[in-house]
Amino acid sequence: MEGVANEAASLAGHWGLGKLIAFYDDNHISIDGSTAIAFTEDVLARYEALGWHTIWVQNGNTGYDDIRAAIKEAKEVKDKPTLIKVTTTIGYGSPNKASTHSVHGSALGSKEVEATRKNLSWAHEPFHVPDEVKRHWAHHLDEGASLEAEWNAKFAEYEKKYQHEAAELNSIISGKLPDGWDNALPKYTPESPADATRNLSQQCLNALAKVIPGFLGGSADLASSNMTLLKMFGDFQKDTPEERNIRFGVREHAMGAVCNGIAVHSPGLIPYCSTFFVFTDYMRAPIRLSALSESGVIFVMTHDSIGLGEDGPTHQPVEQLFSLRAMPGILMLRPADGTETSAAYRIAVINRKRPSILALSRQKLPQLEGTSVEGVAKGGYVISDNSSGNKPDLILISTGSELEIAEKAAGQLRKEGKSVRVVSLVCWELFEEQPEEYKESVLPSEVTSRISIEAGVTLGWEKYIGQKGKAIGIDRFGSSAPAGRIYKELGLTVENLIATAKSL
Amino acid sequence: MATPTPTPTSPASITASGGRGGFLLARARVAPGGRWAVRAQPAAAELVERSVNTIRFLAVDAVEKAKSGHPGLPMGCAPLGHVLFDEFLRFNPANHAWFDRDRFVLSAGHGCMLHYALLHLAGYQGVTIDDLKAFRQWGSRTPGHPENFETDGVEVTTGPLGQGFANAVGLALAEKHLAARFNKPDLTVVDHYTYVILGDGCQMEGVANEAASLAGHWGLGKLIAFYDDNHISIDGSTAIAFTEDVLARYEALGWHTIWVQNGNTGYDDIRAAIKEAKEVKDKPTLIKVTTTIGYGSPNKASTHSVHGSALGSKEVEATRKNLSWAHEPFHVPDEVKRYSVVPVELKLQNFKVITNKLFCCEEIQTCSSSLGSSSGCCILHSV
Repeated sequence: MEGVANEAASLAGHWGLGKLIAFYDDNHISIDGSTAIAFTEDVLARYEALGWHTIWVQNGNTGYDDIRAAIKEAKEVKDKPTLIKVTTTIGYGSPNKASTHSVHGSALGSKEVEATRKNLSWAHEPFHVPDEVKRHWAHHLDEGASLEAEWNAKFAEYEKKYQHEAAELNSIISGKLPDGWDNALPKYTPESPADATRNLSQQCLNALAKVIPGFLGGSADLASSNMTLLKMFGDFQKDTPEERNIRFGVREHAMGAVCNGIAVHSPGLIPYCSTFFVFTDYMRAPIRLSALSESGVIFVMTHDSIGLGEDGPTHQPVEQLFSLRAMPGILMLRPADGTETSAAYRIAVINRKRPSILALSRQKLPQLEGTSVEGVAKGGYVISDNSSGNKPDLILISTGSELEIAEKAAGQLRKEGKSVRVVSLVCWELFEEQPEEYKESVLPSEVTSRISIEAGVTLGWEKYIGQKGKAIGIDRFGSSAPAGRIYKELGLTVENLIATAKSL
Repeated sequence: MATPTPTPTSPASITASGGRGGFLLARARVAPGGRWAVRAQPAAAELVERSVNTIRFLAVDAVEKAKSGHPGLPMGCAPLGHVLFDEFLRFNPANHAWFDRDRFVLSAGHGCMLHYALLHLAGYQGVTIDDLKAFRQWGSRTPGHPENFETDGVEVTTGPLGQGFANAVGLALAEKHLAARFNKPDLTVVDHYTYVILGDGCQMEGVANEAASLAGHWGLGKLIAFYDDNHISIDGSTAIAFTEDVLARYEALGWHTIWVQNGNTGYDDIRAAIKEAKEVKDKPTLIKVTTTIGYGSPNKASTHSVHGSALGSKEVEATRKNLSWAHEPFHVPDEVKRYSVVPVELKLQNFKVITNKLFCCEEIQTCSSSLGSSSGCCILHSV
């Protein structure tokens, strides 16, 4: 019933994944009862419409040969995935609870356990595995060992004949990144041309794909807006599966889940997926599972704020930054310029056990003085400061597209004689992992005059601005208008920041 | 009260009594040929074409002025939009909240200039020509994706694809539920259709399949969906990532399906499809309408660039030449205006005068605005 399954099935059909075999446990029961209550579609017909081969095993309870035949047939179909509908009785064997929704998710209870034992003539005590069953299954140990030995021999031959490919495949199998891979990441200076971080991101993606053999990914029909095309590769399609640009179509939820699948396939496969930042809402479940399962999927999320302008509030993220920062096990990175974007990708690739979410701008941003790869690695750092003794008059904290507003405001306030420190808090999770002395050196507890500015909700910023600080942000939905106008109307301006500073 | 028996050329009126809780006077102007029912015949072909191009160019011009927006869908779906709004949709432009109106949802919300142009032509006060000129600007009533709290006549807020379609299933569920609870054998007070336009993007989204599965299971026979089959999405041809058999999938979900192969100029095909859809009572209907995205633009039609960017002044000019549209931006030809901004009563197709339980509402006081004081109309409607 879940929409994500239809999205994924549509992709599998389109991609002709002939070695995908799905078993649909057709037991006519879900938690609320019979599927006749809410699920009466023709599933096999739907899968055929999606380009799958379909088979129906009508007796999944005792039809062993039917099951065998179905799998055999499925394996012979090379150009389509196969769905085998297996009609079963849920809770088969339980005389009173089979075929009911109560057997779906509750223990049978001791009485029914006893009745089931009687019904299936299973006179053994709990957890007993009969000897002959044990002996039968034991053959898998030998068989498995010889399967792997066979493969190892084949691979040894492969290594001799195809050295370059073997090395690449080895790195994908082991997850060991090639030496010096991070040198490929682009380097930027304050003199580099101004650019939207989504464009700078594309430069990073292309640089990484060149040197990391397992690096691949795509977008949910927004490659030309997310800027995620790998220029030296073609599209992964039915007839060109060796290519590395994956075209997911408008299927964000499936895209996230598919990337989770790619990530767990082999340690050296590093998938990235992309859409507008607001559509992380469509993809939240796979992001959470990615975090929970310690999968280092890279989520490239562009158009990250009101800065996207006229598409309006349905497309403008406001609460997404905070809500993702609230999720355990992820890295939420919001780089401000080329240096920070490059650094963010370095972190994303290094962190194989945590997904990274990058929030990137649609709009052009200047290259800033003081940004650094080392600073980004610590999650938060000082990009400019005219104070001494770790006691500035004022600390301005920002991320991404608003960092330049903080810098400009700091510049003016310094002209008026203030000592102002500007902090880029590009990744809260990494900052929290730093030793206390470092955090104190960036945000000294003595200094209570602090202002944060970010094009997102102010919730969460209390942690860094403290009781006496002020947060400038957006605690409402956005608006359909040119971006500059929205920034102005909502007070995310240099003037407002300076006025706020003076009010502290 | 006297039942109105209008003559073809003279105004009709029904008994008056003022104030809340009683009848309200409805001074109706009835067009030649009509009782209360709206014209049974569609406009002459030439006028239809002109209306369709009016819709196209309002969209093109608004996007061009804003230098932002999505002209492709409005240009491609203008024929469908015209036929649906002008010949089938039952609504009262002077009262966007009339309870028994048909519901329309643009699930492909980025194509909202289509909807705004239609609302404007239909006479909704919330979408004036100035509103169209303020498309995608701060404070305007024509935001870049439809917002139902901003624009009268917009039922739901859409933008993220697939959501509007699922909302439409909800609207159709509400109709069916209320009809079952409140209609009586002698009086039908809940009787309206829900129409939704969705595109390839919406179709790919899982939520749309979930909602379609439910609509099929629930047999929502008064839900009619139009699938704008233009083979283009942001990243290019749908061949890149979307090659399933959509109609077969919907059939598997319990829908009735129809294919209008020429959505660009096949007006009669569109009409016949809607008629057929309305006759299917026990299943929702999906009408696949094959269109050319950006129809009329000589260099950009059928490309993904016309999906989400302004045409640019050169191409706007080329399109004007191509469609022989010599008018300045935002021009609505008089004959189109006269035709569409009819006395609002005439939009109440098959309006049944209900002898009791009629209430007036606040709207009544202000409904006459766009039609000029000579009509002095008020609207009878039921709660």
